[in-house]
Amino acid sequence: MPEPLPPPSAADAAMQRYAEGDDAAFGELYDLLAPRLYGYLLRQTRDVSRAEDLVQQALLRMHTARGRFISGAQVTPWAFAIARRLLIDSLRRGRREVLTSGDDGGPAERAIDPVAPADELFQAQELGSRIQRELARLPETQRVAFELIKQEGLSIAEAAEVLGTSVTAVKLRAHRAYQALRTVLGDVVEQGGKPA
Amino acid sequence: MTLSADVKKRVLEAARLEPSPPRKVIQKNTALLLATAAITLVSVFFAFGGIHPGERPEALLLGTAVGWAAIAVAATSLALWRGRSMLGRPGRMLYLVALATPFALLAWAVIMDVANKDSLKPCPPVLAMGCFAITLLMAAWPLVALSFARRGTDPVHPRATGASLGAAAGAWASVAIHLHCPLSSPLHMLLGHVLPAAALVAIGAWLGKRVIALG
Repeated sequence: MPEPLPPPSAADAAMQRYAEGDDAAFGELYDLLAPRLYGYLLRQTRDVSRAEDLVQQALLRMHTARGRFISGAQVTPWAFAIARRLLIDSLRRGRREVLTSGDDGGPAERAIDPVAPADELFQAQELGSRIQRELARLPETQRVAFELIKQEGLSIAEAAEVLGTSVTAVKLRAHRAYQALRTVLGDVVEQGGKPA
Repeated sequence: MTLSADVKKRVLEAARLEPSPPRKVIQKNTALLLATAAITLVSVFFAFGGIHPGERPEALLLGTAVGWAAIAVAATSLALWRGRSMLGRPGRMLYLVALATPFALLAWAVIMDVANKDSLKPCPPVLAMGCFAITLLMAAWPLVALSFARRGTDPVHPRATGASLGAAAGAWASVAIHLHCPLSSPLHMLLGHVLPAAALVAIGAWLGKRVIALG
């Protein structure tokens, strides 16, 4: 039996109005989607100007295709799929080197509370770096599925749409990624999230 | 790290400077495109003489045509219908539609042929080239129209979408060429009536990357 459709989000409603010709809805759509897309793209590129450029391109692609937006469709998976496509194309063009691992203040580190005690901060940074390294080692399909669900907050069905595959395949990929991380970071997990 | 306010200004300004058509305009244009696709296919069919039953038994003629039409309906609905999703069906399913359609056409033709015991009249392969060309001609505009109806919408698997649309256009053209061409030897059916559908799958994939892709 197919999964029931989730209720339309504010972004879906804004896109719906924009597709029907309400030009003012584009600003609202931007406010609802751009920060999420930016977060995703920044995590992937670790380059502010590149992430901003890709957000801009993604929103403008959506603007161009607004008349083809299907009534009642979800806009978030579509937006992420466009952003992901632009990101892949951008990486392929190889304009700049993209860092996929390292300890130079990546997203995991940026999420750390700046007023936390120094030892906790250090441990969290270590953990963040380690997770990033282990994620980078995972097969592409598993890593992307895991990131879309765990980091970007997409549902499994939305992630499946973004990746152009089935819900079952995404569940399996994310589960395998989770298992692989758990195997490698088991010591951290067993110590309550503190790195060994 | 938050997104600079300047990006929003730039995006809104760019959208204002290059307005895009809303849904009503696109729907009207799409309906026109699809209508021209159907009209073109039928026009080319009749321009080449329309239905020619030849010596084929009625059961073979109609049985093959009905079966192929059912395959064409299935391929078209699977390729075109996206439900309530902008990203459509999974890529693997679209590729399956694209690859299975020519095989299904051929399999049904063989079944009908065996059932009607009418297949063993040989015909020179050169005749298949004519059918091949007419079938491509009948399907060309429908495929272009279907691709433009989906222009700039698929950021995930545009080649698969294009290939499945090619299979759908090819299947309809195969129905038409079957009604037109009185030859029914398996080799002729394969080369002249089914192979064009496979060629259209490849052309559709090529168009998909260039027309349907978004991003």
